[in-house]
Amino acid sequence: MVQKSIQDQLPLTEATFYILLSLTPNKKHGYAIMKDVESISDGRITLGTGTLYGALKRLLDNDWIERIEIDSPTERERKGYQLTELGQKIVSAETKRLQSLAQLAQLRLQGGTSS
Amino acid sequence: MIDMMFFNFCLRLYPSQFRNEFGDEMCAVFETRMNDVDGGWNRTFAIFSEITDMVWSAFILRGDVKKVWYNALSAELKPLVQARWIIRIASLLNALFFVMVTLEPYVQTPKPENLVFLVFFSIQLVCVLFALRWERAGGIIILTATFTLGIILFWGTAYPGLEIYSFVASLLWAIPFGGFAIAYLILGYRQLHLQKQVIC
Repeated sequence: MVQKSIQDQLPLTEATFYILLSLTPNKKHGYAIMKDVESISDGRITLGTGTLYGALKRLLDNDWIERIEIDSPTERERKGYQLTELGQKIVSAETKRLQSLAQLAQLRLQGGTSS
Repeated sequence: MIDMMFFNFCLRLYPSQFRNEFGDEMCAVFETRMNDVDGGWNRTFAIFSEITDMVWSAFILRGDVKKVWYNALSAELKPLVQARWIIRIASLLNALFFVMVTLEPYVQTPKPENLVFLVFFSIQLVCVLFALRWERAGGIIILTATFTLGIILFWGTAYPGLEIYSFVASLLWAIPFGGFAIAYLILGYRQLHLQKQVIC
């Protein structure tokens, strides 16, 4: 039942997947997520503040991430985010989906066949 | 300093609940990003991209909030929301028609004695646009302007026949809002208001 509902949520948008990846495995605050997404996507994806927090709100509403307190010298950066158990399952499921897609593409490019 | 002002202004585009929840964090992120960017064109580009991103995501988010709110509305209240949009569009078309019909003679043969008429007519026109967003305030100003315009026209205008024509026209203009006000009261203002408070 849960598995089915996870599959229903896929595929994720690229920005959502990168945000979730950025929170794997560490918790981060908003600006750290922004910088990390830019870094892991080789500068291809630069999230604006509005896009980032719009996405974070949706992820919070879906219960894929949760808010936590982070040790930070500044008061405003103490609010952080981390993946929930459901969020981790979503990232795993999306990764598997992408892997099988990449495998299929590779087989086709090498002239093989796939069932 | 100016960039923060811009940013705070753009924050107002978001629903209030979202602003209360994320506003402080968003300001902190924006401030940190601006501190990280070098001056000159890079900074200008960063501000520009942030502002456009804010406007666009606020637009998307407001759409989402409206969708959630609309889906949560009870079946009885959905026709009321539809009626609201029909009336908004009707008022715009109404306004467009009377701008063409009533304003054109004044522009073709302007007379200073009709300046007051033109001022009140302009107030009505602006308020039709205003009322698309703030229906209650916009509707009240339109009705007040219409009433005042009616009195002015009753005492005479430089254009023969225009007084009756414009009086009827200005009253017709207010009818969509009057109609909606009645529907609002009959179909349950209180219920709609309470649902809105719970959901938004």
